[in-house]
Amino acid sequence: MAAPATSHVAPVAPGAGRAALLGMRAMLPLLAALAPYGIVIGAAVSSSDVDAAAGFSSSWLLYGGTAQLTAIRLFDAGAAAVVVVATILMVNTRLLFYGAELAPHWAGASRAWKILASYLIVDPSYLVAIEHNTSQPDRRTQRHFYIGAAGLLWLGWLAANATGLLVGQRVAGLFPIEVLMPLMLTAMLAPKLADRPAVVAAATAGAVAVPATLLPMESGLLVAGVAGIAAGVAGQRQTA
Amino acid sequence: MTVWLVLLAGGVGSFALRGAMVALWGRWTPPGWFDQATRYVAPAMLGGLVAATLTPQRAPAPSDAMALLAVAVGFVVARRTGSFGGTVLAGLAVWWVLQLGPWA
Repeated sequence: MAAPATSHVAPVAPGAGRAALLGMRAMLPLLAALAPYGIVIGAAVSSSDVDAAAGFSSSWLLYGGTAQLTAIRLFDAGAAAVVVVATILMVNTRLLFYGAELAPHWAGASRAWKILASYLIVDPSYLVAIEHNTSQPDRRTQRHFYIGAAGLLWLGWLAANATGLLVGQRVAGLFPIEVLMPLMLTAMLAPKLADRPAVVAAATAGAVAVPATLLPMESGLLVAGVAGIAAGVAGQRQTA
Repeated sequence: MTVWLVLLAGGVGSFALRGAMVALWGRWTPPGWFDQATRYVAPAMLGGLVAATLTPQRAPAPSDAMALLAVAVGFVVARRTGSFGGTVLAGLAVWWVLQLGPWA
């Protein structure tokens, strides 16, 4: 790992601890914004039929809000095991591309580091890392920064989920989960409707999802998701 | 038991998705159509989830219409402001007000 040939504008690479601290500081605002979402997911677990220990473990096993909410909903509806796994993996396919984008920056790291760093890939950690990588050319510093940011996110996310699990039952009357869940999903959906094909994808999936709730094994969401993705791709080809 | 096995399978699969390109770096890249399709996973899955969570699992009740109205207001706020907290609070406020009606 040779340091890049220095140009006169290359920023000085901070030490490992300092880089990790900078990563944590960059993550803090995102974590503050995500904490309510994590708390509500914990509350969703506590008001569902899923066993609390298993429900909480979705936070570190699946480690992604949408995948966790999807799993809880499908468990509650009594979906077949294979359907739940397939839907979780479909929700998480985007992580493959995050990994692809981060991989060149991690090429010089040890295998153990790559395993830990890969496990911590999720939307906020990816976003903070790619942003930082554009301004900090030193790969080693990039990695310390990433572990600081992604590690803090992991701790904060698990804490938020645990908090929701503990307070969920007590506030269920004022914050009914059957309203909170679609509201949060709507709040996440709205910024994703950036172009026409994305709107087509969401609308198609939504339209298919309603009658598809009658499908066996609770496979409706999977069917609706595939229909929505296909409609989005078709819509993009048409506009292109 | 099944729940644990499903979570474990989902967790291992998710880890594989996260780590695959890190492990395969320089040897394989996913095809273009796959990348294109992935762009629509989030809007499609979230759109499907919103609709599915709003679909009554039993005989429709007044509370279903109230939830629908709360989410509709939340959607407008989300599009206008892009604020997560604002969206949730606006929707909840609608829900709380509707609770006061004679239909609740």
